[in-house]
Amino acid sequence: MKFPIYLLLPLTILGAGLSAQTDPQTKLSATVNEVIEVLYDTGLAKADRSSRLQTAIEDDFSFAVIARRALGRNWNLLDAGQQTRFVDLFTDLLIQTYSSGFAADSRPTIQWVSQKELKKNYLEIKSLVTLAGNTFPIDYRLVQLQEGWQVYDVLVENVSLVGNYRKQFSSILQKGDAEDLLDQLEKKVAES
Amino acid sequence: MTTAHHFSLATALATLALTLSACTTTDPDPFVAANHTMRLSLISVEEAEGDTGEIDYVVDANQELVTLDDSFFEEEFDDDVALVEISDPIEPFNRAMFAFNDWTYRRILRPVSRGYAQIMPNPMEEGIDNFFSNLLFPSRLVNHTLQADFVRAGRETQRFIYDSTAGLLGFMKPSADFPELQGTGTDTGVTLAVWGLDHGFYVVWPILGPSSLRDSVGRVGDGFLNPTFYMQSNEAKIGLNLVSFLNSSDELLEGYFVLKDASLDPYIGMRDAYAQRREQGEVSKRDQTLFRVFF
Repeated sequence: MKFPIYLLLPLTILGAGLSAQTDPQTKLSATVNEVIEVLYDTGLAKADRSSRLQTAIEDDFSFAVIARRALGRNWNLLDAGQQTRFVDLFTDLLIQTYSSGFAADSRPTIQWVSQKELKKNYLEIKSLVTLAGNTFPIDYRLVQLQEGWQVYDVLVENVSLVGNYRKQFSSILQKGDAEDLLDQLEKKVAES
Repeated sequence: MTTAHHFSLATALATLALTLSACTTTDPDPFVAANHTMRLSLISVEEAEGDTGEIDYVVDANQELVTLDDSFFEEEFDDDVALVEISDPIEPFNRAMFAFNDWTYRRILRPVSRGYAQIMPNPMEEGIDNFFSNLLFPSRLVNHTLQADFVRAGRETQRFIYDSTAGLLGFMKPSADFPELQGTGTDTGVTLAVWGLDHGFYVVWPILGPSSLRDSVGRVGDGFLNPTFYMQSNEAKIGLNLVSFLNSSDELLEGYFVLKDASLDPYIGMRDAYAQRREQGEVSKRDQTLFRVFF
């Protein structure tokens, strides 16, 4: 008797679901490799590097979440229009800071050390980066969202990027208002 | 990327319906599309029931994230690393010193260290860096022991033996291939912290940069634990320390300028980076059960 092939149909559906969820570390490491390619490609103009950097990381990094967390409770001091401007400016700042690129004489090598569940839907992926003989840790914190696993904080040598910006922003907001913060961001983005 | 705080249920469901139709029309694979439908409808049910489960989210037509549970953005960070405070009563002095240092780094130190890096071949520079860092082994061993952290003291000893032999007196660092042997750095400042001393307050020293009252005392201790301190000849001592400083300065300066360029208020950025890094060194120590037994 011929094997009823339609019995395998549920398996295919399951398979499609599983393949859509690739291992977060594999996905992140592919992204990081791509970022290194872009940063160390000396042939790129700054504008090209910016746009390629953005394309490389936008699937894995949620700038909406990173920007909002960088403001914390102060998010509510901004009205809806200011919030949108803030997310856009902050994204530009992050991208542009790294768009100058690096000299090509030595590229970093990356060891992926561990992947740990912080709590349900939260992951921490630890890596060790070796550059010019120095080894330092870079840790990524991820949260599972609609779009899949998204990076919401990066810790370079144990310094949280989101926490560091939050301190700076709250200091600015203590002295001035939301418009001052946006002006300063705008100026910074323009000069970098 | 508009962001509204409260989406009404109707809007939410309407945007979901939009997203769904977009999905089914653009996605060529019916199975993937079916999978999406399932996930999305699950979310809308949770929304309808007002379930404030792990994370609530609503998507707009571009699949952009619009609202997440407020607690996600405001929550204290899991390990509090990001919200470390360091008191700064002498901020005006520190800011002046920060400005002085910034000028010195840009105008004097960077050109000098770049000149040095140019004449010194890269492998040589790395080797010298490794040699000096290996030489600080006594300081790390003594401090780990004073912190009752015998696990790291052991790892540090393993590293020292390995790098001093297979690594040819520490000029090479074969231990770098073992992740479990990394992250064993420590200093007298951390020891004082483990013994219960707080930072006191933040201090920016000329050239040396960020420190605190406690860690400044620690630096003096580190000086005594540095083998070069016990050398007979003053000329050799100064010479060695100068080479060590010059050799590591270009990477330290690069790090400084990257952080500075990324910062809106570089002074606050540096202060927080200092506080976070120091805190991390102590937190990992305070969690040691062995330490709790002893103190």
